Amino acid sequence: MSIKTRTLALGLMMALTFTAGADEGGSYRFQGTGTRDLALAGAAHLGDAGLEAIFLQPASLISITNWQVGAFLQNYGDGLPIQYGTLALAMGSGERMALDGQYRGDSELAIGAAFQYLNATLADDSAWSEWSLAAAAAWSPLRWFSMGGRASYSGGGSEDGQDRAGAFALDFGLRMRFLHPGLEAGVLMKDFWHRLSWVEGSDFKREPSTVLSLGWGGLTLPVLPGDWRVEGRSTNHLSETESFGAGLEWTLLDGFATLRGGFMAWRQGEERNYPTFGFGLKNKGYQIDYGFSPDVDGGFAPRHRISIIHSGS
Amino acid sequence: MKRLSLLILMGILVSTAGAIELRNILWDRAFSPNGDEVQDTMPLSFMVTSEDADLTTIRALVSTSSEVPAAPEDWVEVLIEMTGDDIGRFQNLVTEWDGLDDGESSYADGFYYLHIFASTDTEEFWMGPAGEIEINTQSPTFISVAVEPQPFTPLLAGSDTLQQIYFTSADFDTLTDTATLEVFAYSESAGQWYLLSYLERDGEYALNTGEGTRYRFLWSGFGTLGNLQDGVFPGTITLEDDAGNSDQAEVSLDIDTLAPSVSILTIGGWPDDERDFYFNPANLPDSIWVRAEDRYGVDSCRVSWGVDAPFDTLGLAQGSGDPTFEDYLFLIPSNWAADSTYRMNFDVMDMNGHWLSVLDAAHQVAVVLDGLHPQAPQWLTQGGDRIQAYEQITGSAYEAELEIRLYKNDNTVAMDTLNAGGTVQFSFFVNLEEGEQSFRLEAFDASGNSSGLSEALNLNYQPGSAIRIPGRFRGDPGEEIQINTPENADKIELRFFSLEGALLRIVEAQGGPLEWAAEWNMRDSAGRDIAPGLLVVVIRSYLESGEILEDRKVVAIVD
Repeated sequence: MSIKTRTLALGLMMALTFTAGADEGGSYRFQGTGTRDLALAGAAHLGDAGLEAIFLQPASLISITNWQVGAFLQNYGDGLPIQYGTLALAMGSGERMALDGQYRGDSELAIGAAFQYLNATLADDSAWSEWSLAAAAAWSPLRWFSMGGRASYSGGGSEDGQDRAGAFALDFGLRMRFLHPGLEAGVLMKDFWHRLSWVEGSDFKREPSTVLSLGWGGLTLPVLPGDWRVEGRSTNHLSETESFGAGLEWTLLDGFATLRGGFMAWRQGEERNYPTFGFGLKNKGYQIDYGFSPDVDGGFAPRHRISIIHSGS
Repeated sequence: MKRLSLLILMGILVSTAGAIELRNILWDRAFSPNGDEVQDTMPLSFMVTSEDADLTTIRALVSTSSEVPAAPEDWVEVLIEMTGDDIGRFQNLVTEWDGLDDGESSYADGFYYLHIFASTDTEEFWMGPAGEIEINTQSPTFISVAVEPQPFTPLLAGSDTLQQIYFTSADFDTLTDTATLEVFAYSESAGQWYLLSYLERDGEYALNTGEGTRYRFLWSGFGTLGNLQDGVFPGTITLEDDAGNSDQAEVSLDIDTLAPSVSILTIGGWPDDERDFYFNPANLPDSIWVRAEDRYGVDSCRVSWGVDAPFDTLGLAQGSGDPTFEDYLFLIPSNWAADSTYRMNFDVMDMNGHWLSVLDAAHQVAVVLDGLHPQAPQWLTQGGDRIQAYEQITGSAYEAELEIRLYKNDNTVAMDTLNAGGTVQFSFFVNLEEGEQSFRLEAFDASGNSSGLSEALNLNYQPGSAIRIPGRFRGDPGEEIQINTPENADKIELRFFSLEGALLRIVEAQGGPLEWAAEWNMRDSAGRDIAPGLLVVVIRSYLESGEILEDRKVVAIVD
């Protein structure tokens, strides 16, 4: 592919990074509850994202070459009464031959869907629940380039029926390889379009935010066995970085075990930094992952995520 | 007293055909040597020069004759006498004449003449013609003063537009004398008199009355600042001649430009700036009392029903006995319908004929017959358990003017008055007693109609270590987080996290050491709105013992 075409694609991705700001906090959205995502401090947009791409970068759905189904659970520690559960399904059009130097091939087309449920008990002991439906699709017209979109609708609210709302959101992402088949860059425009409406009340609109990611996979080290992969990710509001994270993934034993670690830094509101950890086991089409972020600064509760994914063959 | 002097300047060359010249001669034509320190002397200055030879004589004298040269037997007094060979060719001379005979009594009033003589060895010079001097020790005098019309009503249709202030004098000389009128007013704010208007005599008016001549001033009634006046103002007429003699006469100028003022007297006394009166139909009085005030007295008062209707009802004067005001009685028709509004335009005329409706807007009031009960107030505060005694309880009501009463266990504990249209929120701050208590509200509209009691707000106050935090934040008044610590605390922080773990805001609670409270405006530390939905609040209590307590709560923003 010509250098000019890749330059144009890279320019388009850069242009998407300079979008408007974010309104963080709140819920009423299809929440990113990927286990690998938590273990890598949110830096899991690229590479072999697999089924978790439905939470993060939809353009990475093309990493699914057959089909995958999975269940994801999140729970907070210290008795914080919020639980997430997600069921997801995705399928790809079939593995294309890997590029020279690419550590594995991917699909030209992929689609996915997910259902998420949130259950919480508020401070006044009232019950609250939300549900979300998400659908995503990805297309890779060029071997080094893919794009994806995600539409999600979230609804629910207080169980007493007094405060209920619905929100619709569109996200859009691009992903490309450049310089090296293992080197990837991605950009995701979250809440490209968003609208929240209370059943009885006013509307609210989240401003778009941009997630930039850069990853390099298929790395080998001369001393240690297995494959390594690194990725960095930042969420931006204009020129202001809301948060960034970096993750390192070490795959051992021919893909049977994976160890993950990351570092998360929040710069929105008050500064906050903490490490993340996780691991995964994969055998005969089944993959079990666990992710954890601790309460290191005496503030937010620790988070645990566990997931099981089955990949079709 | 204003000094009026007539100076005659002869800045021209006064000379004969010879070489002696008289220049710049200056003297007062008239003066009054009466010892009042106003123009008591006549100043004189002049310059004498000789071109061909030295001057040998310079003489300035006063004579009873105007003939030149002046005969010695007519001389009254020599003012300057210079002789000899040392005068030279130039002299600039200044002197004055005191007009006194032997320095004691003044010469008789009348005309005198100034002569100036100068000579050289070969030439003699006399100023010609002689200068006129008048000794005048008598001021112009008043025979009478008068003001017409009095009072002056410039705004009244068909009345004079100018007030005439006359004075008659037998010895006022229009050529040499002046007449002025100063009108004064009193400033209540400054606490002193000030010059309201300054007038000069109407130069086109002089009427011989037989005993003297009558002159006049004309006043439009406007002050120097251009505003039309109302009231009685003292004035001073001053006559002054050119010899410095003056006389004054006082006048009083009465100008009426206002209509009577109207006040409504009704049950309860004087209403201050109130133009709407609310009555329950059952309590409607049978009459309305109106007081009209004017310093010239009130002629009549009447009322029209509605804006376009003619004045159709005359008030019944009650005879106040005071010439400056009158009370009128208007009977209210017995057929007025309940739940209606009647607009009444009161108009009143003073004894000079000024109608309030002509000079200003008629005084309008609305009599509102309201027999409808207002809606019962609604509680916005949620009932339930409380952990702190001091509580803000909030409600809402609907009507323009309401008095809200708060009852606690059937006893009135507070009242508030609302003066806004539509739905209005109000709050009361109460101190709770331990245990259960019940609060109710009652609203009274301006006509005294009661809404009846609201639903009960039941609060149960139990002190002790606890946290009270709204499960859902709406931004309502009084929405706060209360924390009672088990022991004294130094500080309490509330940390608001997104579900993803971003620390959006840290809020410090106020109060202590055992009872704390905090308010949160649902914004992050940068002041941005936080998206609706769930948040995590971590409450960190820093106890004096050094222990740190943490409580984690899930809350929702539902605004």
